[in-house]
Amino acid sequence: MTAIDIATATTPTAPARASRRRGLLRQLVDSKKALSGLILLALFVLLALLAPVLAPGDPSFINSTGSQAPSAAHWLGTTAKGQDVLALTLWGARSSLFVGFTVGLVATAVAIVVGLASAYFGRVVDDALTLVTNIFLLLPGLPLLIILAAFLPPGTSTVILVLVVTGWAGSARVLRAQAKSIRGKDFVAAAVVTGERPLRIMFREILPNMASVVMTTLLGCVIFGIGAQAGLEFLGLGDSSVVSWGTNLYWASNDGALMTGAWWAFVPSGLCIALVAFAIALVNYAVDEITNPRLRNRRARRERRG
Amino acid sequence: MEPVMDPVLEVNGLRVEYRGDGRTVVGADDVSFSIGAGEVFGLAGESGCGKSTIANAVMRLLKPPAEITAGSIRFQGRDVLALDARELRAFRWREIAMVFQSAMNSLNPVLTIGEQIVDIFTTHEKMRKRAARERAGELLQLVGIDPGRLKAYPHQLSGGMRQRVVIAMAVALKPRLLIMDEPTTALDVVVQQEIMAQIRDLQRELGFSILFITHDMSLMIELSDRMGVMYGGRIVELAGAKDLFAGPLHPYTEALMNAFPPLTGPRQELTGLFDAPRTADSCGFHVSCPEDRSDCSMNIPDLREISPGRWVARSEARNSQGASR
Amino acid sequence: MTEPLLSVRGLTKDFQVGTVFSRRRVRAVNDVSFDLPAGRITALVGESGSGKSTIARCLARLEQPTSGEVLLDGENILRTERRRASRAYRRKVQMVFQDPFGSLNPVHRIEHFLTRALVLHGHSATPEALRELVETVGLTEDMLQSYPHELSGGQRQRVSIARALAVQPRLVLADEPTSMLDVSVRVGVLNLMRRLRDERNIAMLYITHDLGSARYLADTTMVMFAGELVEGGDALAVMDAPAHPYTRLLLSAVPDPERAVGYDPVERAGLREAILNPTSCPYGDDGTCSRTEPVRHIVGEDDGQPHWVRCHLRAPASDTARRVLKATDRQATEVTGATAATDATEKAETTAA
Repeated sequence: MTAIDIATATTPTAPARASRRRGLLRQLVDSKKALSGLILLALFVLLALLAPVLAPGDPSFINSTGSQAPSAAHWLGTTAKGQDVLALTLWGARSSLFVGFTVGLVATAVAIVVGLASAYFGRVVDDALTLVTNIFLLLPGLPLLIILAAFLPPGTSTVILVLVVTGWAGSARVLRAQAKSIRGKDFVAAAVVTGERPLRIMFREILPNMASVVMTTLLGCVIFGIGAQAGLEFLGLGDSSVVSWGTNLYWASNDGALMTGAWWAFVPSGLCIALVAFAIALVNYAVDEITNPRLRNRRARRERRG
Repeated sequence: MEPVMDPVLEVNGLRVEYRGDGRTVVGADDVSFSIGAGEVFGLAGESGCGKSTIANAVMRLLKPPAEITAGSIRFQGRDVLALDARELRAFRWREIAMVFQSAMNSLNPVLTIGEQIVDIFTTHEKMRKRAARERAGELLQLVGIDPGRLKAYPHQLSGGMRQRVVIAMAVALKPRLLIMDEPTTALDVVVQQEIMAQIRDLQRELGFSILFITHDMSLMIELSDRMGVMYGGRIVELAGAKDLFAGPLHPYTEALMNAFPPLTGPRQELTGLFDAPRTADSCGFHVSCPEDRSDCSMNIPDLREISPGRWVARSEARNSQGASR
Repeated sequence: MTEPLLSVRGLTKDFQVGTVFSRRRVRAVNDVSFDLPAGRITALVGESGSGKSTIARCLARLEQPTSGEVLLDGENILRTERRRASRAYRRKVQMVFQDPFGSLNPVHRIEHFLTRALVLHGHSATPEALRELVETVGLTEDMLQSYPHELSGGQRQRVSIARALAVQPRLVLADEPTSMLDVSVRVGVLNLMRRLRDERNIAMLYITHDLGSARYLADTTMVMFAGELVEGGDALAVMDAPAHPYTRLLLSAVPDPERAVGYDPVERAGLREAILNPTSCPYGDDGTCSRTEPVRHIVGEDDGQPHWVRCHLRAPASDTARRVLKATDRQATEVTGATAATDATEKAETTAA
């Protein structure tokens, strides 16, 4: 570009120009943070999928003496009951990740619909939806979780339902704010004047401009899903017959592993939850950096230096 | 450069570059001009031509990735680029002050305008609060605002009044040079006239020079003594305002002036500039350059003095022809 | 005399401003009436906060007027299409917005905007159709694959015009289409608009604060001040022989290097007084004042087009007018920010389609 191309240097659209052209996913792969996060996440998903292969049979099968420290036969030792901790951890990944991602997706979907409708229709619809959102925000999460879980029949679907019900409101508020600010832009008015229908405007004009916020919301909801599920199950409110990281922790505490010092019974599951959350947070952080030009400059300068 | 009496500001061969990832964009290239004492110098051009870059450079306000890579800026003989941090602080606002674009929107909304003006005096001149408040009142009167408004918050004032407050803040320490970057662009035409008249009065009373930046040619010609037209980071024409208006010599100047439909006279078809984005292959408006352009293409030639005080960026071959109408 | 394409009668628009605790009603448009003849460009000139954008948004059915009638081909569409504009209306009336950077969705290519406009109104989006549209507005076919941020401001505005043209409208509302463009590019867009009127017989409502461009482009000019129309007539007549003191005030404020004397404070003060405190009819006894609302006085006629001025005596200046005029005075009193609030809420409170 020549001397004349000064406008791009002073306006903030220049870096955004490049990023949009290269696509969010491509850029994620480029960023070191995102790459490490994605790799870690992929690793866990892989392990979860391969659990039947790596640890065949029923993981809750008692096949050894209880509370054995890690050894060659049982790499992560056994629980107080005598189950293989490694098998439990691997199989636990399946339920935890499944529930986590499902909750994340469903809660985000609900939040998107509520946020878009609120922003697009405004007035009465907005007031009504905001009221509902605020009610759900104000209700204390944990007690609500406990009450719902106590009254509904135990099972994975209950857990998912309960978590979605308590988790959608926070995202809805954020998405509504973003959608509102986009709603006020001229290009939405132009779409209205051209004759586009409301549904099309909401999902094809407004939503694509919210991609990064939706992404971070989704990731946040997934972390919430995994953590809250583990919390519920640790309290004994989940389905204790299912093998998941949360139930592993529940049984570990129930069987007194914390008191006997059998760290191998609860550390693996706890560590997995932490690592998955960390991986997702890394990806989240990278998405933020990519879409916010101000953060990007700092990263570029750091990368150049080191 | 030119024979200007008592130059307050002398810019010579200034070059500003923006270092991006992998590529460098030149914001201003080989810019030279002088401003005399009590003179109003206008810098005209469209967005992206480099005029704001120059203004920021003179105040040493350029931040990375922008960098001054060549040239000199001398203020009353002193080298501005060589000032250290302490000297720079003393230099800014006392010697040169600036009214930024949309400055009226950058007043602190949670402080009264009185507090903001008093701030200037207590910071720069170490005045006591009471004395500073008196001076603030006098300053407001100078720009035609009732001193009772010192207690008002910015949002309680109209756009025109806020702009006057900003101008008052700029002239508070009686600088020798006032830089105004599009001071009236966001204002209505009627208010704009009032502000311009106010500035003229102030200038007559306090005697400072003005570097006036705008894209509105008519406004600039009305106000300026001398002016320069910038395009693509370079000055393409430099002359007295009235001379420029009477007979522009560079095709870009002509195009810029023709872009304003007149308020009087018969309706004539005007031709604007071909609005292509300026790229490596085209300076964007050579379609309206009539003659043979084999020597011009996209390299804007250096300024040459045609007659005393009139400079045009034309190549040797075209000088004798002058502009075509 | 032929029926005008669009007629506006007694249009009024109020906005609610403020919080729950201190609601205030601001009248942005007050009892405005005018006609838009087919195939002619009508300029609506006024300062920011005068209400001109609000009128455009009402006509584009982005806002719901508080009262009044809008007659398209003789039919009051505010009654027949009360809540939402019909597709038929959208086919006849289109809009071009002020901000070239904001009026094109950054995630779509140019092709998308034009295709949608064509398809929604029953035209097929063939490559030929797209090419023809794009070339009509002075762009090239390869730009169809570009994103908005890859084009310059002037090109983006041309795309907006192409999008409006795609539906083959009878009327285009242009809300300050050139005020955010670079100066040298404006004339090109204005010339394009003029060409479209000549070649396609499209009527236009050209909203602007730039008197020079109104004079250059329009057939008819109307002057708006503080929510009311104060003068109207043939474009050249209104500029060359302005009758209303506000028009004269506006014209005197435009910088003009050809003018020998710039600012005359005495004259300006006099004009302000004439608007705020009229003591008598400046056109002689009020015999020629129109006795019906709106109150107008005919000062001349050009090619069958009356040059009218709002009567000062029988329709004195509104509160908004007083506020606006006082704010430009050197010893101004406090402005409560109502006009600024109007601009802010104009965008904030849009109704659904």
